Amino acid sequence: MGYLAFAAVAFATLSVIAALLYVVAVWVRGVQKIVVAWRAAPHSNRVTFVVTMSICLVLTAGLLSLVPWGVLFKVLEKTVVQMITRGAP
Amino acid sequence: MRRRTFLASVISATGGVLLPGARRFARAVETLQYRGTIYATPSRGDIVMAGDLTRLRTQVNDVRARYGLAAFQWTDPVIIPQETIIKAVHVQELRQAIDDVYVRLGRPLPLFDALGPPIRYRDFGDVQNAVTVIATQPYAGPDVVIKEDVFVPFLQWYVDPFGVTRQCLTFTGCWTEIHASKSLLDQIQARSDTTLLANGLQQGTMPTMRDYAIAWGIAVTLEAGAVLLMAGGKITQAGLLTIAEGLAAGTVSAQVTFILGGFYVTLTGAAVIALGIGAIYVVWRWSQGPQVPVQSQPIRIEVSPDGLGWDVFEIGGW
Repeated sequence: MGYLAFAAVAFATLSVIAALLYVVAVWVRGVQKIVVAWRAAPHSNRVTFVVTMSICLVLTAGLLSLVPWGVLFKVLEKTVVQMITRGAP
Repeated sequence: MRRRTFLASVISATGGVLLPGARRFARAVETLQYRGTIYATPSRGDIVMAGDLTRLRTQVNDVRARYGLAAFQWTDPVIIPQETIIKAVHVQELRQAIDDVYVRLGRPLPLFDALGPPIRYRDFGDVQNAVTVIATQPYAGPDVVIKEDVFVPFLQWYVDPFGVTRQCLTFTGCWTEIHASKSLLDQIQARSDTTLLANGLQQGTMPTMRDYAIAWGIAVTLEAGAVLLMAGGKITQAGLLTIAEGLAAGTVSAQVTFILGGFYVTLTGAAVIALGIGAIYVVWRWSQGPQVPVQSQPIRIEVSPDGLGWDVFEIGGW
């Protein structure tokens, strides 16, 4: 059981690396698809894309800026992270 | 110094006046005032009796033994009524003997008045008060007696038999470092609910279990992070493809719908990815060491009046 635990750590570490690579690959492929679609799209479609995306970005950025991220992060640090890391070596 | 015998002397608190008729009242006072187990603080006019000194010596030695001091070697170890002479050294020895306990505990020394002649009953009462303060306070030995590192999980005892400072991961409570005397450790290990744990420690299984528990905790956390990353990747993939579909759509409404939906689906996927990164961040922070200092707390223990075992055992702080 003991060595199984360390094998699990190794497996989990490899999983994280694989997952990170997968995320990068997915984003690259998705952006490539958008670029291809952009090149093939007529001018009106491009205008709609730019306008819609701009509105979405501005709205989302505005809403997210209202969230007190610093306070949330400190609360998380003082509760979850400290609780978990209390027994660290 | 005038020579007086214990049983025949009645000494006032104000100056040691020898009162007449004390002899015939001595037994009555002994019976009425000192028959109970609770010591009554002497008051003015009380009679000094051999039993008072003997009892006080016993109490002082009991307290000394409680805190690991040897029994005091008294002058005139046997007090014989109507025969042993009251001496200043008797009181001085009592003061010295109880002072030793205060020094051992790191407490301020009790204040005593200058010693006569004449010797007053209050001199005995002052020593009695100093003894009572120590005898009735919660046991304070672990802070001053032999120190050993002990780690205490919530509702469990962890006594490292190897003398190695260790910390353990626990999901039920925090580990608290305390210092305890050897005798206290013996008492703790004598308890039925700690015997099993102590046996496990003697076999050296506990540190191994600790290491495995930590390894499993890391593995589970990392795996959770990986799963979140994969899920987030899938979601963002769907979102980005939807945006691309929007670019190719035939009508404006379809374009806006696809692009809008794709944007927020992608945003959701990014949030899930952030959660996965957060799980990995927690493991990284854990590897950096404790984020809060391990608290060093004294234990509070109240010894039972008979000096055997203990009644109340408590660790404060959480």
